[in-house]
Amino acid sequence: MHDLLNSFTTELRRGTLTLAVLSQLDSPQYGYSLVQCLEQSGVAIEQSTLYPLLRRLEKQELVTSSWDTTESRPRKYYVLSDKGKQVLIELKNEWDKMSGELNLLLKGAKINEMD
Amino acid sequence: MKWIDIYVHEVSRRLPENTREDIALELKSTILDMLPDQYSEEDEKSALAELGDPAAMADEYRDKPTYLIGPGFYDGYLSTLKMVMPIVLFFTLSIYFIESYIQFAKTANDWTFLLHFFGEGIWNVINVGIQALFWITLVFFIIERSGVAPYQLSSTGKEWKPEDLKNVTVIPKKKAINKGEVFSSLLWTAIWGTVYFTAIDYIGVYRGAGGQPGLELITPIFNQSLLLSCWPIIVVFLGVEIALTIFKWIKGQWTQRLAMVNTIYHILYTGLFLFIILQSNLFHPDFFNYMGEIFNSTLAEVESVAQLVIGISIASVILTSAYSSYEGFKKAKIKLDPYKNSDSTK
Repeated sequence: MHDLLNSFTTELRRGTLTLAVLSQLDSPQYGYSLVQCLEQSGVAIEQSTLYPLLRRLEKQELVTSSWDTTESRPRKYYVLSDKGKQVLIELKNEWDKMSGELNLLLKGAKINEMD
Repeated sequence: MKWIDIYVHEVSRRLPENTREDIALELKSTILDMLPDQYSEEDEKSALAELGDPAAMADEYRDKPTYLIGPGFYDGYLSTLKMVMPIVLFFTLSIYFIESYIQFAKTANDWTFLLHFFGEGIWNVINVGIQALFWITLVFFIIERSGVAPYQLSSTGKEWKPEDLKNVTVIPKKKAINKGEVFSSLLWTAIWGTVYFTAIDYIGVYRGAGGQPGLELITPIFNQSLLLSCWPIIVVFLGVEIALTIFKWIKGQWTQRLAMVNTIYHILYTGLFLFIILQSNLFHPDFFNYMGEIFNSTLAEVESVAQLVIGISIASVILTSAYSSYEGFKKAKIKLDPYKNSDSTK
């Protein structure tokens, strides 16, 4: 029962991961700053998932990256590309629609339950 | 610092050459970001623990399928294996059998050859089975990675449409002729055909060859010259049997016509069997003499036992033939749609 619940939760979270990451990349971020940013908003993400995900997004041309060597140690910064911005807007709309629909469904279920 | 470098190396060595350096650099800078300015070895370890197993991390980076045959092709892969394997093994065994027989004839009929024969036969089957498995897997592996969509391998080569249902023949399970049935009857034909033409004089009574390896043939049971004199009928019959089996295989289900052909075949079969078994000189004369000797009975007694055996054989052949013909018709009658069936009885 607990395992099953866990796997459902993981699945749900995995689906929203791309959206969560894209939403934070309006301004350039490096890997660890992004982790902290997400954690502050309560989104827990495995670091071993996040860094590879950033590279994948780069490969899909949703983000661009650049090395900043001016600081004490070099950091790789990621930022949304034009294509990424476009995708983010559409994904956001999709999310709004979906969560609205689902909330409606869940409310309906609650009413039925109380009957 | 030492721990970090080893960790980074553990990840990057699992990655493709061209991405290694960049990922290593990024990973290292990320790990250093996680740590305070002055950090201890314990800090290092806890940061690395957060990142987790380097192998799993590298897996995420690689972003390539970590399977041999994916779910889209798995069904096709399995059904190809099921289709190809029996055919390949059947031909391998047939060829091996013929080759061995020729070799056996050359060794002046040394029966110890048999042990060698079985050993090598099993080895052959394993060898060819593994080969077939390997090549089929390799072909599917390449097809999948070359970006072919699974539906392109289907018989239409296009995406599924409702019209495709027209070409599907639905065979109810009870009406179907399964592959095992076809295969075993082909095998049976091959065995009795081979035995009939090559080894009928080896079916007999044996005893240990007094200290020498192998067995000594005392007397064959059947009169080989009589049996071999019927060869043209037998050849025709073998042909008919193989043709019927292949016909069944192609049809895949029992139909009225197939049931009819099957019945004719069984009538012919029974007729041929009766013709041969009722020949007065079917048995080798030495066989009766020898039986009389060991059971200490007269020739007449042995002959009456033989008559009984012949009688039972005839009865069982007639019964099984009749039953098999009847089954054919019964299965041919099974309808696909249960509702249609009840309609027609109204």
